[in-house]
Amino acid sequence: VDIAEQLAQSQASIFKGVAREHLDALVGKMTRRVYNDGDVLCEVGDEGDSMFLIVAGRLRIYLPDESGHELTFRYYEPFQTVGEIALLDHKPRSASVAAAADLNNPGAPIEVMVLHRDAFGEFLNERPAVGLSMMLDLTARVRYTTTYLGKITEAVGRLLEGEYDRAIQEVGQDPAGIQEQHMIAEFIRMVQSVQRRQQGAPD
Amino acid sequence: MNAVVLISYVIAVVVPLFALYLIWALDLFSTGGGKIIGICFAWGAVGAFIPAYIVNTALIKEIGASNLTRFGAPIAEEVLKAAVLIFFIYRPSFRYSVDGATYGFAAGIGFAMSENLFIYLDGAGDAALAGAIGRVLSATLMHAAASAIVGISLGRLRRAKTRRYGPPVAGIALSIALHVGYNNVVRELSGTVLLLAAIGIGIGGGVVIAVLINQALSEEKRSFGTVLNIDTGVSTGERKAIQRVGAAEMEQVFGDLRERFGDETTSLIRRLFATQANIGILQNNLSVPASDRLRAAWKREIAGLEVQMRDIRQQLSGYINTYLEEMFPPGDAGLWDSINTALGESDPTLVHTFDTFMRMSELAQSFDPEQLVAMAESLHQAEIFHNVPLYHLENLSRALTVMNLAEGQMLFEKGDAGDAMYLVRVDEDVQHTPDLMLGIEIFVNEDEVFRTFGDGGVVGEFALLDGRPRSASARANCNLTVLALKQQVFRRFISSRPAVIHAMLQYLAEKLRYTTDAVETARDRASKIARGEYDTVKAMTGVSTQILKQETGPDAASLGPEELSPDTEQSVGRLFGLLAHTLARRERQAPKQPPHTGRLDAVE
Repeated sequence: VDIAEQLAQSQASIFKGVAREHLDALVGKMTRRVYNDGDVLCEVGDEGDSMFLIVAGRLRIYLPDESGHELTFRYYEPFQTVGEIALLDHKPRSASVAAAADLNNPGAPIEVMVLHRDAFGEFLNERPAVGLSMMLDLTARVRYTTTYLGKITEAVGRLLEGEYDRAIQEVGQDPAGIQEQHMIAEFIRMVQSVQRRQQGAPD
Repeated sequence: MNAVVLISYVIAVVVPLFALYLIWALDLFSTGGGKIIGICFAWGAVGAFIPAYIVNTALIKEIGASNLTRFGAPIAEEVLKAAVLIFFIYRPSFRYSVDGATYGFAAGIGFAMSENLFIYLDGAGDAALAGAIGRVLSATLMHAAASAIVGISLGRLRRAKTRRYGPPVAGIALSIALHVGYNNVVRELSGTVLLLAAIGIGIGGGVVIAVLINQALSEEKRSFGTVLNIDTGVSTGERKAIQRVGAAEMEQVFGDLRERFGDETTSLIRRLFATQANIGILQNNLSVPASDRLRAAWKREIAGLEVQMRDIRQQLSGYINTYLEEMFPPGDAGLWDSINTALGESDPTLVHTFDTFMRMSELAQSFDPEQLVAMAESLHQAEIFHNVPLYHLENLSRALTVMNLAEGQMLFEKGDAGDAMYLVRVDEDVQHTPDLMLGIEIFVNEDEVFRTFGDGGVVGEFALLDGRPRSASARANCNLTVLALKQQVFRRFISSRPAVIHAMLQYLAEKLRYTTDAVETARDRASKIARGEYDTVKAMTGVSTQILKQETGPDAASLGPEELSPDTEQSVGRLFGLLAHTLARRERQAPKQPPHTGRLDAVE
């Protein structure tokens, strides 16, 4: 499997805008690890120092609750990245990550490429141009999401004034980011059900 | 076979092999590697020697032993030795004319070794030892020199832009002449005189090669000179004034080097140049006033770069190092100034163009070290510079420019291009009312100041990264000074400093986390409100209804990336809490009414 190519196509990745030749070098800095179903890669509160790129199998993101039950948020599939921001900031992990078998191939081991923060730092030192382009990409992403947060805030303001249709207009068209799409979709669904409730229609 | 004979055979084999080993160990070639040298040697020892032996045996019957030694053999042997050179020099991968000499040298000593073993030592008996030493020192040198001359002239022909066949013909003639001269002298003389003369001819051959190699090198240098627009008759100072090597010319130089030495070596050379350039730039930095901390950091960086440079030099062969020193003399300040500028132009991440810019623009002297230290400490307080080491900030502070603003004067207006970040400086003596914070006021509507940056505050840091139009206006509320850092200058600064780029990524990652958290919260609360779970949404804010009612949410109009913080998520949560509170109240007041038209009730 061409890991660098998959990394390039991985949607949420911070490496989206990075050229192919650089991704090859980056993959060279990763270490391959194999896990069994249920193995824990990191736990909530651990210092986040690496990113995981799934090659085979899945990763399960979960939080243990007070009673010891695990609340699963979502599964990540091959060629999605988990914990990429940990490469850059030094925050503790916000959730736990465990290996989970592929549903179609339950016996197969889970294969993950791990990029450690130090290896990533080395990569940046060798290729400052990549760091610069990542910086511009991240800047744009932060700016973009901030703009959408502003729109949501405005729209809530409209709702407080009772202007439901204007609130929907305010949040605008389909945003480019998945995160924002989900937020906007949920917001519109909220306005519509509130409207229905207030107009006496059955919920 | 007695001991003396054995020793002479050993000398005849070991000395040429040692010469061959030297060529290999010193990396005295750039094209084709050690394998080709070995093949040339083998060709001389076997491929050229055997036909030469056959030809000579045949000729001896026709022209007699004397004529054979004096004329026939030199011609036949030189031509046969040269055959392998033609083959290797005309391969497409042959890049460097001087390699021709190395190939010839190897073929020559190979031939001489066989000749010594099978012709001169064969049956020489006890006289063999003296013969071996004389032979090894003189004939081997002569054979090697003669073929090297052929090799270098063929190499120069191969690399020349215009084909002139005179020099290679002269080269082979010269090699034959050398050989003929040697053979004739050896025939006529004897004893010590013979030995001295023979050695003299051998050394003479060496001198001729040296001259030819030198000529080839000057040809190369002239071609670089033409590319880099260097007129060799002009002094460094004058050259500095008129010469302007651009990125394109520099790329042409690297293109030429790539053709000679290949991709891998050329990228090493590029790194070597960049390292050398940065060392020079940092050494220039040391000549301007700076704090001990900054000077120490520069010295540390220089030391690190010197280690890197030694490392690169070790990876390059000794021969390429000599070549580079010859072509691009380290002491030529004018040449290196141009190379530095050109390198920076073609790839700003390679060299510290910021520092060059500071020196050239003479901005480097505008602040004294104490001021720089103070400014660096203020910058360090700003979120964006939190992870940047202080010495970097001190260096960066050298580029700040002073602007004085009068009370009420605008720093920028909403919609202006965001091309700079400002560090606020308020004089302690300014008179003011106790409850008014002095500094730069940020507002969208004239009468609604939502933030004031006081002394040491940093305004508009995100402009350094994206230069979007200002989302709010900024105004001085007293007479004050701002120190501006232009986006352009900042970009120049960080380009060659991966550690600072890394710090920026860290800053952005934090901001991204805040936005992600806030977006997730908005999404979660929206879905709960959609399901009518108003109380849950209110409870999740963790504050009383009383406090909730005061919530205005993040100021939408002014919500810039600078304002993002861990509080953003909380404040989004509270805004939705207020929404839940309002909607619940509204639904209670107007339960199941007929379809509503127009504007719904406003907030209570």
